[in-house]
Amino acid sequence: MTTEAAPAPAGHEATHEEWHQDTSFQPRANVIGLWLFIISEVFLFSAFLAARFYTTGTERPEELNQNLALAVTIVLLISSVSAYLAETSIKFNNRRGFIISLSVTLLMGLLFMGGVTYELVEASHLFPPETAYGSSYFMLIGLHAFHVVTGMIALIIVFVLGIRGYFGSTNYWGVEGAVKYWHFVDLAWVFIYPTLYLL
Amino acid sequence: MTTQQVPLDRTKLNKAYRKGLWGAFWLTVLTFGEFIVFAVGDGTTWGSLALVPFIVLKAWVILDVFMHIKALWTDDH
Repeated sequence: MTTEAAPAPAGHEATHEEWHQDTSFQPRANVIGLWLFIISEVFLFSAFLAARFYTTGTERPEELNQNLALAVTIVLLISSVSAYLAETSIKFNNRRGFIISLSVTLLMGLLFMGGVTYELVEASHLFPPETAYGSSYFMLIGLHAFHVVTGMIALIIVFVLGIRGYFGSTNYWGVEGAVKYWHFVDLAWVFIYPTLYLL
Repeated sequence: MTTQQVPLDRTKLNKAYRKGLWGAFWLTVLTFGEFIVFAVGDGTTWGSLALVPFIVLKAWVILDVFMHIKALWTDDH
């Protein structure tokens, strides 16, 4: 592992400046920092998932568009797979694979947002946000959609930087971080979808 | 880790791709399985509980295959 600092020579204690200059710990710190952020997001989503069951139990309106929900779920899962392929490609310096895979991810993200927007408009006529189920539904879908949008912004930045040749096999933390966040968005949907549509 | 020099090995690249596609396969199977269980279910508590294994397994596939969660404790990335 490159994160381990070389041992100091006998009798030599690292000065404060040297400690600051040693950036070998940085990648590990980045990964742990991102995971801590993801964990904090898990708490946020968990609170709203719990609120849905607390307010309405397992009851849900019959008018929910099940086919559309299944379709957007599949679209989001495809986007996660292509994001994985993009990350893997850049790790191995396969720039073409990175650009194609990330383009697919962004396209799937757009499709997902289109589907969700249609769903929200449709749902607002069937069960308004003032209802108990409606408040949970719009809150969860809205919160998740916000994360999808921010994830897409991160991926677009990474995409542009990637085209400019910023990333490679030895420097891909930006891609890894953005893609990991995108996977989290997918992970959150894995719980939101059954909570709102199936249970 | 981003500072690691990753060898540009076609075999390893294909292996990593296959791992991702394997994850995609399981996610597809579990998603359709989840939907089928929902469709044939009677809407009771037991019917709802039958969906839980699908949810947990899907989450684990994403965490393990796509998010490399094991790298946190194995230090292998």
